[in-house]
Amino acid sequence: MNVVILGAGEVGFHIASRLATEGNNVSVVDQDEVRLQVISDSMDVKTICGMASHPRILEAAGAANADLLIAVTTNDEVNMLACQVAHSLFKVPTKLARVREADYALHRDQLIGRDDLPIDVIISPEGEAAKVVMGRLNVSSALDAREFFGGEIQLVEFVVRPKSLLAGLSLMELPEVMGDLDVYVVAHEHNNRWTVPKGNTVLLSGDSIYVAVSRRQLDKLMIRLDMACHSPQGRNVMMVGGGHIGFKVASELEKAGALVKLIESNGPRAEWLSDQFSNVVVIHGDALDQKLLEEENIDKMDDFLALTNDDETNILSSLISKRYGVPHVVTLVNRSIYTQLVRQIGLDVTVSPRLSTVASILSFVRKGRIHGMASLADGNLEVLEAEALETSAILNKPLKELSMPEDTVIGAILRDGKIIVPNGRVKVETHDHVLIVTTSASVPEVEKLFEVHLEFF
Amino acid sequence: MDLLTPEHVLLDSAAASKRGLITEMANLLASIDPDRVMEVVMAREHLGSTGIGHGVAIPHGRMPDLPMPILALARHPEGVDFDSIDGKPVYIAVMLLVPDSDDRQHLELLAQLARTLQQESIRHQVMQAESSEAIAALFADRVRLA
Repeated sequence: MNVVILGAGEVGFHIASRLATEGNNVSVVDQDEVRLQVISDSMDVKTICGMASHPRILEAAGAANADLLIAVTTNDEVNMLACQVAHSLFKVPTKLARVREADYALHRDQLIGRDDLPIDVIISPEGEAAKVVMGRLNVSSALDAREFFGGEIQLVEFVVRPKSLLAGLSLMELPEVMGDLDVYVVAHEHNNRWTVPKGNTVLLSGDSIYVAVSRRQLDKLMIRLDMACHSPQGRNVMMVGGGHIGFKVASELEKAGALVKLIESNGPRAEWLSDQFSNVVVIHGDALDQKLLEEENIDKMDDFLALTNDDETNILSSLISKRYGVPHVVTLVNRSIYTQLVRQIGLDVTVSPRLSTVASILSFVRKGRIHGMASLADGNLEVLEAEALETSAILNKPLKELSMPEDTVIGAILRDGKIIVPNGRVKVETHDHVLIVTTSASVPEVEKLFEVHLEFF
Repeated sequence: MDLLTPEHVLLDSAAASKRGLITEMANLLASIDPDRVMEVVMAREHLGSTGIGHGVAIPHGRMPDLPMPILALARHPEGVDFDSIDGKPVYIAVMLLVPDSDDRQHLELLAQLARTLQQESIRHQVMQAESSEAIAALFADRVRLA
């Protein structure tokens, strides 16, 4: 696939690196030569220095042959205009643009379309991150939670605790322990290494796992495993950082009935925020001010969310809140170098806008009809919700007879609104949505399973 | 009536990509909005390449407002990457657009095209042909509505 990426920031860099590794033809445009140098030193892509929306620059980047344009410069207007130029002059079929300004988002339906701004998808790293934060709040004792099949199924991550039902259990024995609960373990971490588990995988205490479970059975599962699971309603939540992400999350929490205290360091922003909410307490102050945190009863909080745009502030304030005994802490971490580090210093629940954005962009690169996508385990594993179409190889064969790519499992199937937790005898039917967990190395083979034949119209 | 007319034959495409080739073919069809053709055909390609090997591709799709099926052919002397099943470049691409009805007829046309282009002698004649008329004539008897 030929891909043009505009903007060599965090998101642009990581998408470029991922797409180049997978063998796509990638060119990256930015105005900053130093940044471009860093990119061309570390991956096999073409770089073009210049203004991303100028026709001359887009032409040099190969827009005339591009299948996909990803506009992720720091400037909303440049991104939108670049999509227009790519459409009018170069007929690029798929165009994604990052648009941060909430004012545009408010009018997106009128602004975007075939005859208006020709943008196929608006990317919002802040929105993606806010979604992930909310997922984690909804299943509070889990480390991570993602929704698929339009919310019907959840992938929930948690740690296998010592002496719990799961410790020492091999996956083959799981159905006995779970009884009437249909769950499927789709990812397993042992000694910091994530893999897609097999039947003989044994869960040891301290391991982390991702489990696919239907929304309706989630509460039961958490009870069975002796873990708490309650909705945000009535919870005491302290947040630091009222930027794009903080604002989104606070709005959602207010709607859900949580009692939110939001600390924002910028005076005018704090004032603006307090005008937006009726049930959120907005405090102008410093997230690392111990006296302030104590005055606001940090020790009585159920959740602490560190969502400023400064990684160091997020990490430090999270550590402080842990010391005050807050049971559930979510830390926003932008820079990849910290992601690995934070788990080691005891912060389990981190959110990376970059990772979640890269995953949602990848869903446009993956072949087939993809309805959802996420990356787990710091990007090592990929989750795809793909639709099985007529003539594709995956149809009408018992799963145990399918030659599945290595390190790949089918965690759940959605058929006519019903969830099927698969065993080896289940066959995939046309228009089933299939939830697949795999490694990036096996993605091309997974795509083959879903590829349609010539006679598909 | 012939499905492939000489006006819908491009003898020497120099497109640099699959997308470029499909764009060129879409532009041959004066009566249909090329942007729509691109959209439909590229969306179908995204689900699985129509490059069937031996340097042949048959990109296709449904166009709801079309009165009857329509064909376009592009010849690419250098060959262009089409993400084909055999991984080899494509030299002959025949685009088939059909109305939004009657599946049996569409499949029959697709099968006729595939059968015709599977013959090495036909592929050779397409590559050697000196005019659009000669290429259109090759398909006149072999690909037609029942």
